[in-house]
Amino acid sequence: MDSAAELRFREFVAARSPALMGLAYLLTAGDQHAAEDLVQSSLVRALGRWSDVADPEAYVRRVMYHQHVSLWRRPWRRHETTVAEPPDRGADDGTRAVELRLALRAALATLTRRQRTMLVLRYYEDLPEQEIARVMGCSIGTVRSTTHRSLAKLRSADLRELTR
Amino acid sequence: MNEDTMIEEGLRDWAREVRVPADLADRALRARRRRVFGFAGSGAVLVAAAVAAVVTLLPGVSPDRVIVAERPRTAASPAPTTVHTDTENDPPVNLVAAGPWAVGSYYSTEWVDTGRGTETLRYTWSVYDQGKGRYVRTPYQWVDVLPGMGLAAVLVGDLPSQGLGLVDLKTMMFTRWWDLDEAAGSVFWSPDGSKLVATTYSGPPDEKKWTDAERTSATGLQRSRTGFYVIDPNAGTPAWRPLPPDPDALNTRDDLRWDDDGARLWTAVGGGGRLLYDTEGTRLGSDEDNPRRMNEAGVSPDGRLRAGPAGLPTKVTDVETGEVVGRQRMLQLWAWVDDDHLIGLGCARDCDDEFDNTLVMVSVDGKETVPLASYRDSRASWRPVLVRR
Repeated sequence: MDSAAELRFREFVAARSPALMGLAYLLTAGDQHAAEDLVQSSLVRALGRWSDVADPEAYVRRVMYHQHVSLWRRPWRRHETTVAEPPDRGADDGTRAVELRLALRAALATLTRRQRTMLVLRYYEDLPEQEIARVMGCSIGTVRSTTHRSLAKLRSADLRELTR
Repeated sequence: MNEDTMIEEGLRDWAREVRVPADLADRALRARRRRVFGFAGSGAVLVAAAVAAVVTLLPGVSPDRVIVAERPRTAASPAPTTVHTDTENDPPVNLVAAGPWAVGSYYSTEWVDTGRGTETLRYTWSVYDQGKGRYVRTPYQWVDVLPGMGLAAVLVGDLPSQGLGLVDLKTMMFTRWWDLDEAAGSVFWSPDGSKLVATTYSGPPDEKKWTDAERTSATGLQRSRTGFYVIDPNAGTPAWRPLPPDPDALNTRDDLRWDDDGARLWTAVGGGGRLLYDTEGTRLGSDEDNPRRMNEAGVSPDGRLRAGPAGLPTKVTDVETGEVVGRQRMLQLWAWVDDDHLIGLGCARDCDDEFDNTLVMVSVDGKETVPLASYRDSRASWRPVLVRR
């Protein structure tokens, strides 16, 4: 990697770290360290093909999806759950909007990794179902049924309250 | 709110809580080297910034902002006397400088949709890369170059931003990083380079709701200033003070900057005046017609002459007698190069279009003019920010 490519990489990371970390944070259910690991390992993968990549952000995001999915596919990782507690907020901050957001977050954190990943890909990354199926290594039908079940689970939590 | 929107917003809201490490690129590069070569390469070299007591021109930041010149003071080392021009490239690639002043950075802006019926500014900043010896485009949304041009304070990501870093302009690498709790819309060095002030906002500081396609008039939006940080890079911990929006402020963006004394802070009010604050956010008073506030170079280094207000033409007067000692075919006089020359904004041809202008060095008598950079439409193109070099 020459110095110009390295500078381009550094500039890319400086500019896009917040967005990439945000995505990783959601995929890892609010686990700061796991999110940093996910971004770092994806950037290392991207570095290997840096000179060939026309759209670095799209490429790194795709690597992140795959890294995240392949990680939880490994049997030894399967038992892991990284469910973060929603952050404490002071009682004086208790507007209805804040309460609702926290309730949603708590509900999202109770989903399985697979369920949450699908919701993140659909609602945060705005990927079409076909692409989600490809990333997750499953059929479109499975994407739909998993999303449906995830939403049902959210509704059974506090979502009814949220959508009122 | 429907279910889809709520989930989208809930996810975005959650994602914003992540902390963004400054050294992700270094970590990845080190890991890559270990993978390729089987050993750890040398890490980032952190260069400490030795900062002399020098002064700067503060950047104008949006189309209706002013560019404010501090009066030059004695530099710690002999001030450079050379003149460097780049009239070939638009925007400049090679150093643009005259005497003690240089274009340390320049920026352009564009209006972008916020997705809620308003627009805000996106900045493109370039800085002078000392390692490469040319201007390079940066990914940052805010840049303020330290006098001496060795270091820049930058805000990373959309404004307001919680990521504040210091970038070494020889290596273009971060040497310091702060994850701010309150998001900042601007950051400025103090005149002696010992402190930073970052003004914080709860929403995009440049956000406007335009009422016409030409963007000539906008409806008022709720002002979003929340306060400011004073940061001593050597001490480390940023201290935040609340400072609610001022109802008399010119714009939604209502940044604090350092006064010449390096102790007080000020914000701009209409008509050339300033509001002054201490570093706790206590209002100290106000002044009117402040020359720095109005882009004026002020008094010459030898104290004899005073540069006048925006022209055309501009004039220089004798401090003691008030007598006009020279007129210049210039739009504005920004800074003194030496006791006989100034840098300012000069227009192309016969000044038939005042917006077709560039940086020009001009003699006090107006007879000698040296364009320092290429002419461009100052409304739509790059805007220079001078810094003591």
